[in-house]
Amino acid sequence: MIEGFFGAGATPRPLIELTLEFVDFPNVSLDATFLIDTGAFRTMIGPVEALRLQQDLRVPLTDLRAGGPSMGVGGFVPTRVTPARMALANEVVPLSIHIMEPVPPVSPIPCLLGRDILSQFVVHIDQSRSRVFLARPDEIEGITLASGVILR
Amino acid sequence: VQNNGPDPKLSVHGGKPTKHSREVHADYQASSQYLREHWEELLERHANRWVAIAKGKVFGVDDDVVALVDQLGHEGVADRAVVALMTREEPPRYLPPE
Repeated sequence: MIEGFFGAGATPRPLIELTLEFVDFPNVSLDATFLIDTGAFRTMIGPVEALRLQQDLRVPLTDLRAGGPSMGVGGFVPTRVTPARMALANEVVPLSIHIMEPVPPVSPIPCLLGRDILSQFVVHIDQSRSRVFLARPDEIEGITLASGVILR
Repeated sequence: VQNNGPDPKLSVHGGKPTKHSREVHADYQASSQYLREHWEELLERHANRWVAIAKGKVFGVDDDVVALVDQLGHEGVADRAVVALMTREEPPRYLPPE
């Protein structure tokens, strides 16, 4: 089970801190805070964290494989993609991580934890109790819901 | 609830997390916690500016996030820093490619 938190700011948003390692860059890891986003198809690193990552990669982000554009209200931002691994609940989850290019002016676009990862976990978001966590399905076996349904 | 830090099985390159990677993660967590606990104070003092927190304290404040992160890199703390724009506005939402 991995515990997250609600972030400060305009409205509380469910966040979780995670560590990524990059398969093609043996000495590079990135600690970052991800927004739990069930609307995102896949997991993506935002442009500010991309700037941080760039400091350690020693190669331009643009040398990585192009990953297609990320779409938003302000238009689109190109992404790069590279193989990575994420530590989650005693599991190592491989993924192709998309990285937004830090195209000026850089916006505070958050890193997103998308459905490629979330689909493997039970996602618990309880704002009334300030409680956020991800759990493996077998970790919550036996819990009885108010409806009487027993999770198996 | 367990710590979210580098797992002993996070072994893309073999072996356990190094002392360095554990330190980086602990520093990042400390900085993230500092930002949460001091959000309102930082917002009041540095509205609409970028703030970098490293090793659990304010490292720098700048209008230019690229310059701020470059400074973090020169000091060798980009991997453990938290960088945030101090604003009450909702962050822009962009979706990854499908």
